[in-house]
Amino acid sequence: MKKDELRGHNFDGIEEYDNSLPRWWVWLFIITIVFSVIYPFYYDFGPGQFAPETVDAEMAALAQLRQASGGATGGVLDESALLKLASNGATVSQGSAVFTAKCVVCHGAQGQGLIGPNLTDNYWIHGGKITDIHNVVTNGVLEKGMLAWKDQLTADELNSVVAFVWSIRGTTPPNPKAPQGDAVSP
Amino acid sequence: MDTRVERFNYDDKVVRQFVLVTLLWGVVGMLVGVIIALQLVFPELNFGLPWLSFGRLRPLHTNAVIFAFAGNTIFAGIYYSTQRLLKARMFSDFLSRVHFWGWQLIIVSAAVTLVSGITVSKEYAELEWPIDIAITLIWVVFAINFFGTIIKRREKHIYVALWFYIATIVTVAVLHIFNSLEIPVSFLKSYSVYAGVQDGLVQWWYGHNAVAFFLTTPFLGLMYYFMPKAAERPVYSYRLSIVHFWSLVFLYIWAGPHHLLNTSLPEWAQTTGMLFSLMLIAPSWGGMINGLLTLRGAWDKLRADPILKFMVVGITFYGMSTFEGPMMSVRSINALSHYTDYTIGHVHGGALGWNGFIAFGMIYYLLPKLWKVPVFSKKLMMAHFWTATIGIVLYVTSMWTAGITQGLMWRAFTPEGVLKYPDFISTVVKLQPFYLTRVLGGVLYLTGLLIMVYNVAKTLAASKAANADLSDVEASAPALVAHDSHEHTWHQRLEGKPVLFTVLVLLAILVGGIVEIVPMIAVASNIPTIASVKPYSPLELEGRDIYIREGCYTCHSQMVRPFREEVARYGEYSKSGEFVYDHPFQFGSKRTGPDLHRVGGKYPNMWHFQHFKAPADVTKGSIMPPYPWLYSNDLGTSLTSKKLSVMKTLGVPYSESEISGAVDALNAQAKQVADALFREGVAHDETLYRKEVIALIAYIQRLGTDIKAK
Repeated sequence: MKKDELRGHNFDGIEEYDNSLPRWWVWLFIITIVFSVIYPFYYDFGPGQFAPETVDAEMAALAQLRQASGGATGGVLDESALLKLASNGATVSQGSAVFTAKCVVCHGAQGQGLIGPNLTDNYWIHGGKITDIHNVVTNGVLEKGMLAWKDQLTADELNSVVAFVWSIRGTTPPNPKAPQGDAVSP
Repeated sequence: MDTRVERFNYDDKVVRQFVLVTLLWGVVGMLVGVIIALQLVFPELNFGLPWLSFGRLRPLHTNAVIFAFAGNTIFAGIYYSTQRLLKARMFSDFLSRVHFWGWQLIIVSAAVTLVSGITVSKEYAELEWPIDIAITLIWVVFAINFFGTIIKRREKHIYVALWFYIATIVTVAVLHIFNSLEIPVSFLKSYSVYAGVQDGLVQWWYGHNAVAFFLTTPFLGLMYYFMPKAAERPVYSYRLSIVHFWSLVFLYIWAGPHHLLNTSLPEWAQTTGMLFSLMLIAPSWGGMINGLLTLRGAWDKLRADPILKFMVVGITFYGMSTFEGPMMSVRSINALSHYTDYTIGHVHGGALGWNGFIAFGMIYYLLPKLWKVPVFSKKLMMAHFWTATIGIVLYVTSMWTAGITQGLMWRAFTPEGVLKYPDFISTVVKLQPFYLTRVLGGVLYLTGLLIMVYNVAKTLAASKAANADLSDVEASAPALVAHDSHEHTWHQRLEGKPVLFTVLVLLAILVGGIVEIVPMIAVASNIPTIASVKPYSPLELEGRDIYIREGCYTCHSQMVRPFREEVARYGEYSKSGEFVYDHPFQFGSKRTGPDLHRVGGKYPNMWHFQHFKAPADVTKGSIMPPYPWLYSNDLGTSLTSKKLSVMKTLGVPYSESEISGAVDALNAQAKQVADALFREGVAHDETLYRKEVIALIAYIQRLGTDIKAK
């Protein structure tokens, strides 16, 4: 077919050339077709793996990484490590920011208690040791309305907010919520 | 040979009407778009009002721009060009009027019902069953009018533009009917006959091909008519138009499952969707080549002619989108782009760039033809072009950036093996600058349209002032002859047999749908059953209907993909067997907020109770609208039993006693939820259990929990 030869027919004044298909366009089409024929033989019928077949192994690898490094909840920081964090001013002020962002809805702006219990008195529902607080913040107490924060806070943030909560014990904010739980000697 | 010349005229009145409503609905649809874009930056703009909340306005935006703006554009262009390409007046003036007014009535009823929360929640097919029936009837009217015109044509062979119109009319009918199969519960409520993964597959077979056969094929048809007309140049290649037309209509219909990549859709269907999308690059680009190369030898015209500017940039965006789409259909790329704003950028490149610009170019071309005076101001046309072009660039680039940013944040892990951004909200806050840039892009694009409206208004005023003669345009052509010596090839013969042509198109588009959908419904092994998955309780079902009503699916997915970052963030990945009672499915397509499939039991009831009332108080930086009306509205229970019995018809195993005792069971469960809330500290209120929020909490707490029980 010669280049730019008109078909000799017009539709409402529109004419058409009958140019050949651009060579690169034909190749593009052929390549996508060939790829599409090969792909299933590798993936669907062959050794290729789809995401559901690999995800379990990836999760196991992640778990291993976490175990090796301490992981999401900061590993198991013992009481003395947590108390040390709680005496670190920078950690406490980082925790204060996390508390303002996440906790004040239920525990009040100064931890005086609203929906959730007062965190400034010396009454505790699930234990008053710093490791108890860390455990409650980490795993939550769903039936009482406390979230598990381990999926939403990084280890640092989680530890810091525990440190902050520890630091506000014994403060006396206005409008405190009545004590709940058992008295724990400070 | 009979060479008797016949005189006839064209009905341009209906074209003028379609042009004017195109502009009207364009302004409305894009204004709503700007409002919802603003809501994502300033959630206060939801105003705590149901009919102004994002979840209800977003479907209004998509329906308005697709079916009202683009739809009326198509009808204007088809009515104008079909008459001229066939050398015949439309088959019936009466049907033309019914088509015009019927469609506008459908648009108005869509707007009213969508903001009222009356929706079936299937994207771009949200309208309830009475409107679905009205759409079917009006589409049939359009089809009769169109094919009637073909029958009484004076031009034996049908031009390529008409091939695309035929594909549009036939395929949209098939898609609409099969995707809208639903069983009514009441006049304004129905349930899809398909459930879960099957419903998802049918929906995206429809959804993707709404893009293909409502936003692509008709616009290619318009391009094939208006581009050579405006450029006054011959079309580049007739044989290219044959090859790309047939390959496009055959391949397109298979591509739907690329909307469900990496979900619990069976892998063979995902593979099909991905590969057919890749094979679509060349057929799509065939249209682009024929459009752009038609300008060969006339590129100088582009400098001065705003109509050609619109068309050339529009076709360029078409080429870009049809490359981007197949790339996003690759499993591994989709893993990053899906559920993010990248997709929003992609569709707006297509909608604003391709559909919008072809529409604007066409309307500017039509104005002097329809109103018999020159367009009021060429300068304003240029201003429109540049404003809109800059608007698109800002819109698309900001959404690309937002999408990639968020996609990367979702999957980021620390070296210790934990999510780097475990808190979803931190990935939302990050997007605010991009959302603001998007608003600016949208405002610019809308401003361009308003400039056009002004220009059109002035042109119409000039036409009126000049007392222009708007009576029907006279034309003449020889009567149709039975035999034509021009037929050299089989395709030319086919072009002379439009009925056969239509049948072949129908066959071509049916193959893909049948091969994908029939086995998904007929072959049980495609959806492995899970014994612990049980139907929703009556309260949960009512809660689910509130979830649907408020358009929660517009921002939340219910599909945890089998990736480590999703399992770490949300929990066990979703299985197809978990959705078997989901009429309709609620997979969603966008995560403006987090996935919800495993949210059941993750938070206490109290958290949800506070959160629906004021999301930003619970999650700092949240852009979710508040839902105060759920706390004052009593849950309607008059249809509850009927809902269960319709579900039973659809195969959900409710017993007769469960159906007849539905309301009692509902109240009992609602009181349990309310009591739990009182224990968690909510002020005691005897009427709380009757409120809508209780049902919604019950539904949310049920989500994804059935397989945990195993």
